[in-house]
Amino acid sequence: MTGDSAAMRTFQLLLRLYPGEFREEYGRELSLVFRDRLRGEGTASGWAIAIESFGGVLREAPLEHGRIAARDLRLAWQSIRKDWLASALIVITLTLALGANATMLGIVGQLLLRPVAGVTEPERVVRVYGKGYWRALTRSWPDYLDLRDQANAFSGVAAFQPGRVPVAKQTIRKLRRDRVTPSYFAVLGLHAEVGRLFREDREGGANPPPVAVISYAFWQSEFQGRRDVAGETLRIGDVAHTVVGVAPAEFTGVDAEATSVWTPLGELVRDRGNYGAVHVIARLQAGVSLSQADQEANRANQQGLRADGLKANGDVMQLGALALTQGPAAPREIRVSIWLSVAAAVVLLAGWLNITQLLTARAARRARETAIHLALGASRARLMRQWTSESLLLAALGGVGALGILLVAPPLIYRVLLPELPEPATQLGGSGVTLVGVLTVLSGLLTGLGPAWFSVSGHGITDLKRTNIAGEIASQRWRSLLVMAQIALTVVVLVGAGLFRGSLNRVQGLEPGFDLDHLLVVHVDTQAVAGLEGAKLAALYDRLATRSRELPGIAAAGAAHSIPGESAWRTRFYMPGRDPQRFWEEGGGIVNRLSTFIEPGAMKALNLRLERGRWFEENDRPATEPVAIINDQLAREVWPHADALGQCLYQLRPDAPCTRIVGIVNSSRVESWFDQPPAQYYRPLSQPLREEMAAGLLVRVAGRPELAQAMVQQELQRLAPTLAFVEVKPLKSSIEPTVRPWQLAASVFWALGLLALTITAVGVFGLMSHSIAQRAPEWSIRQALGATPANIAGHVMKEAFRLAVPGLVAGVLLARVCSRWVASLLFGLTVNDAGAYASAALLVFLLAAGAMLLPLWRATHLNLAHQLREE
Amino acid sequence: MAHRSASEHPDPLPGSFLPLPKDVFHILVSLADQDRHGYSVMQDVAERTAGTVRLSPSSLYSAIRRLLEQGLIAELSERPAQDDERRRYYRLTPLGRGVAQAEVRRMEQLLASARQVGLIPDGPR
Repeated sequence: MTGDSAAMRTFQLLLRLYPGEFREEYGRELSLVFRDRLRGEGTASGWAIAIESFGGVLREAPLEHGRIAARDLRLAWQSIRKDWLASALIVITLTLALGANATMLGIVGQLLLRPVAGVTEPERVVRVYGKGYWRALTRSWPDYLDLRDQANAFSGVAAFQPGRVPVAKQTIRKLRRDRVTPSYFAVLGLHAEVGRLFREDREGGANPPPVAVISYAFWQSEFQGRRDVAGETLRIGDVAHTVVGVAPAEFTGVDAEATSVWTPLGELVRDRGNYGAVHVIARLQAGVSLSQADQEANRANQQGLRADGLKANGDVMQLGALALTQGPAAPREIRVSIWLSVAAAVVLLAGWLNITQLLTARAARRARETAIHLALGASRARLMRQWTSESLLLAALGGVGALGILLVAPPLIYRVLLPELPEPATQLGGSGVTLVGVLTVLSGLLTGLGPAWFSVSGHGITDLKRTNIAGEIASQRWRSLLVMAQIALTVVVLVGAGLFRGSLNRVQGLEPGFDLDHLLVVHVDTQAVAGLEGAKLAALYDRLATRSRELPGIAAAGAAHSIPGESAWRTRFYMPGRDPQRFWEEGGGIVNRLSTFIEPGAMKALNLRLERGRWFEENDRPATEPVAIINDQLAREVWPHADALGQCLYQLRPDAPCTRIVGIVNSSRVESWFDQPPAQYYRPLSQPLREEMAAGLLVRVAGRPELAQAMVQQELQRLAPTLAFVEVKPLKSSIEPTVRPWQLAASVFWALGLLALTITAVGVFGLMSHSIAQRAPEWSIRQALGATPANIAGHVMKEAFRLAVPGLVAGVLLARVCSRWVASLLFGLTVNDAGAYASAALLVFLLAAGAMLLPLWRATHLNLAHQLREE
Repeated sequence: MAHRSASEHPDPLPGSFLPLPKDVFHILVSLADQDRHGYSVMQDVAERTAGTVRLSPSSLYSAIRRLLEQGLIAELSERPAQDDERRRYYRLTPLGRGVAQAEVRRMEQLLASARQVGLIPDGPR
């Protein structure tokens, strides 16, 4: 056949698809048979035979690879079972390290990468953030109007007010309800599942109709998914609303908490001072970048201020991601989670080093066996493949265990350490399994290739004689380096744990200035009760306060206009003799500081410290002289050289009547937990300035507030009208979210640190044991010649610390470099905190000491006769 | 002729290899009457089955490798002087012969069952 040579060349090329060992064994014969088949055939029949043969190769070659892989896995399994202890250690190490990494990477990936579900082109929708504690997430109503009417960078701007209200249909539940501008759904690019969503021409204006859009989940649970839901009535608060439509299935609002109902917002009062009025979102115009839109938004806002006759202020808007977890106001937990992922990766690296070290030791133990295989004709490639199969099988077993961790760890972390963040349905989806799979294969290859290469390189007949001293030394040095590297990485993680633990201690040690540990706060939700506001609500709080004081275990109770940590108001007063047009900070007479209108019982509940003067009394009424109590911070700021007691505040106007300062108390944290206590003053709730009324009760209990909570709630609920919910909670629960990032960091860093310590302890133990075994004959002889157990113990300890000290030094240096990246997450200490480094060093020394105990015991109890027999 | 076997298996029972894949059975039958090299086995199988069973070189040598590992065939260390020295000859081992016979008996039992229920007419027994 013409073209025989072409067909033969093609066939021989295809033979390269076979595994090397099959090709070496049968390749020549296959070529011979192929040639024989073609001999004497014509062109057409010859090519038919050739193509059939090519097909045969393409079909059989992958099967041969599969058979060889199966054989390698069988042999790997036998080897793993033979050395079951080391194998178990490797699998446990990988299970924990892979599981920790998959968990943290999965959590961070979901928090940082998952867009708000259901939104069209979510990368084009932004949220308007700001600077300052109370302005980080919200804007005033006029700010929203500035952006809507003046900023050209947006194709749509919307505002919303989140809240929780009683919603009644088949059941009555308190659910998340967002009041939204008509543009809300259009800005997000949503379309109704059933019915319609809000429109400017239907829900615009100052008094929109009482209509509602419900969520898909609410539609399913309360309306059984009926398609004729439009027109149905729903009671929200005390108002009947008509359902006009259902939101898309995957959309649950733009925040972490799922929204059940949306109602029209209407128009709010134009009050530039009410920063917390609304949340603002906007869709960028096509072709407009984020930075351009940012500049445009601030220009429009400043223009709006000037139009209102106000001076341009330093308030800066900042546009960021729609999802809160991805924007500039992302909870601190997000950044902490990122660094925890890095720490988990460091632990995985330590795990890989440990496993490489263990497998290298195993390779050294099998040196003779490997030499025999090589002498009998096994190729180095085949032996390397077999070794790598072993490490891949170990990694696969670890990966299966890691999937188990991925099933249980993330829900636990979300519930205990990240309760404010949205928990996904499951981490064990396609991406989670893929992540574990990739890390598993990477682990198997990275930990297996090194020992595999070591096992086949440089071996020869010397291994058969068991006198390969050079090989032994090289192996020991390599393993020592690996263990030192593990120690260094462990130190890095432990230093991180120490720094975050220190920050947590300092955060928890912050003095609130009032009796946080014994305080309950009581609110009455009146949204479902028509007319319960103003004087009626104040009277209700009065009755609740009176009843609270009668309950057993209640030390004090009273109402307040603002509750520490929940809300804060500023009310200006004037100082005589200074410019009434300028602020105090500019040398003027306007002092704009935090003010709290509060009953005497509430002040007693806070348990502030009266430094001088008196408390408010029942006699402080509207008809008597207006009085105030200031804190020492305000006294230092405004009366640095005079006694503030007896001085006057002139509230709201320079010519207002004197408000006499009758007491000075200690300063306390009412706003940001981490800032210094601000200057503040108190006024009696019985002497309102602008109709300030009770917004909550403060109740001090004798014991733990959690234990009294249910009793107080039950007793007070009896006094409240039906549908008015009385909520009682420890005031601590408002503060706890601020502490949570450090709790998260400290807990998980310590867990990872212990994992790294365990891994490294195994490495040190393994290396020391091997070293003792290698030197056993030498030490036996030394003992026989007079060396004492103490001498030998000294040698062993010197060897252990020769491992630990360089690793420790390297770890400290590495930790100094890495800790700079987390400096902004620390509180109350610097990255050079001696305590963190000292505790890490101590733990590493304890690790080295503990890991060498058994090898030390073995070394000091050697039997010369037994060793000689072994030789 | 001296022969060498790649098999290190202890003596398994012939029945443990049943049922045999079609290709394997024809290879064993082909080696039953004489030692052959690979191409000879291919030709013999094609001729014996009137072209209905055609072994490709790849499937032949994959099967030969398995049969050597299982000890059903053995490779001969000597070959006819006039043949190409690159050819390898194979012989059926006693175990292989037993397996082929066991497969034939199994197929005979199947035939007998089919005749009993009238699926096929009675034939020579």
